[in-house]
Amino acid sequence: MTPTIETALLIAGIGMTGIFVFMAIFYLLIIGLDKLFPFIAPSSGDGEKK
Amino acid sequence: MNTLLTLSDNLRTFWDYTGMANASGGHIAMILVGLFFIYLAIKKEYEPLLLIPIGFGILIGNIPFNEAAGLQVGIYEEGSVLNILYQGVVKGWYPPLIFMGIGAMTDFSSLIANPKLFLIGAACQFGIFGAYVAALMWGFAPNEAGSIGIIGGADGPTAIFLTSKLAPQLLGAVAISAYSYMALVPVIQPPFMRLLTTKKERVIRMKAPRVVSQTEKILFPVIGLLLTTFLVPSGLPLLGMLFFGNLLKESGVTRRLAETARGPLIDTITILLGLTVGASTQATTFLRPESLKIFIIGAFSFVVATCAGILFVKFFNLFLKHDNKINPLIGNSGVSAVPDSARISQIVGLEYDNTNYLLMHAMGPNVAGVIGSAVAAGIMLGFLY
Repeated sequence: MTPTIETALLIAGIGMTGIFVFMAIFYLLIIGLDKLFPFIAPSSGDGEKK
Repeated sequence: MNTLLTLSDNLRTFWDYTGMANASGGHIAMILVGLFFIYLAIKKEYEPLLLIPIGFGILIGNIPFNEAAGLQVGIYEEGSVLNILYQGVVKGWYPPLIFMGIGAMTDFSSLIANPKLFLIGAACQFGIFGAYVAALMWGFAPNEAGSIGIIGGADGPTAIFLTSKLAPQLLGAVAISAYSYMALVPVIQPPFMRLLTTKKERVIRMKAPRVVSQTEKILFPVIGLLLTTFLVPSGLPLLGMLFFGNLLKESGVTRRLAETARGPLIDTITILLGLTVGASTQATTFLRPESLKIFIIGAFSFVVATCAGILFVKFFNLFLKHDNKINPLIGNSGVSAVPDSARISQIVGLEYDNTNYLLMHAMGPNVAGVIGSAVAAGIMLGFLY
């Protein structure tokens, strides 16, 4: 294996790890968003005064 | 007699300037390629919004003319109209504008509702790095290999952006290869989707996504921008504009700007981009053995990306509870050909269960793939520029 290919494999390894880390952080942030700002369904109006 | 001689000289000069006198086999071959693109767009409806401008651009770029005469009509002649329009490609400012339009038209709800799908968008980027290593092994320089590898991201603007920075001499071949394979997604992906999945897996029903609040939709692009800034700043030109476009859409108070970004602006840039990328395939600079190699590696990268996405879903399913399992037919959509690869998931899924609609689920990895390939481009740029 030539040094160029070794470097390429290293860059590929770091690159894929970087992408998975980026996506994993995004994933965790969205989970956090869901906890902080959950969807609240608008009230149906049943409880309103008639 | 003198009049006849002058007339003859003038006719000869006129002939020297015609396309007939300057045509070569290469020009004719490229004109046929352009006509084939237009045929695919009109008859088969493969990505017509891209293939019509690119196909017609190939015709424009390959009209033979006397290149030594300094007519300033060729795309590579400084000061020509085509050359001026081509600067958006060469300097890399068309792709970020397209990304802004994509952001303004993309609904990230399916991804926010099921963020696990982010990881499929990451897995498909194996295509980029696989092709990068393959290109190096085939004798390309590291910066050229990086540009060729990005074809595997199935994202034309990203491929153009990275190539304009790393290997501008390969711009025509990389761009044509990327857009051709994006158009051929319906042909390339289904055989591998069937090959790598079992009948039981193809009918997995995924849980309906939860409802996403408007606050989440607004915060998503802001968080995305900040995450990009801190982790992969080199991806900012693309991802920054993508998230900016998305904030225009989701904020609810900039409707006019969002409509411009996803309508007239993206259409204008698409026309200019397609036409000039097509014209950049001028036979004298495009028809080289390297271009053929780029096309072969591009096909390889697409296949690797598709297979990586499907195999990753199968692997991921080993760790998921029964009612949370993911249909591996959406694994292909982690390549960022939006929305074609998601549509393919839907079409193949319906073949095996005509009540199982996968489109909304497939849009998650599809838009994650857009983000993933832009991050990959940023990483490549960081290492190879």
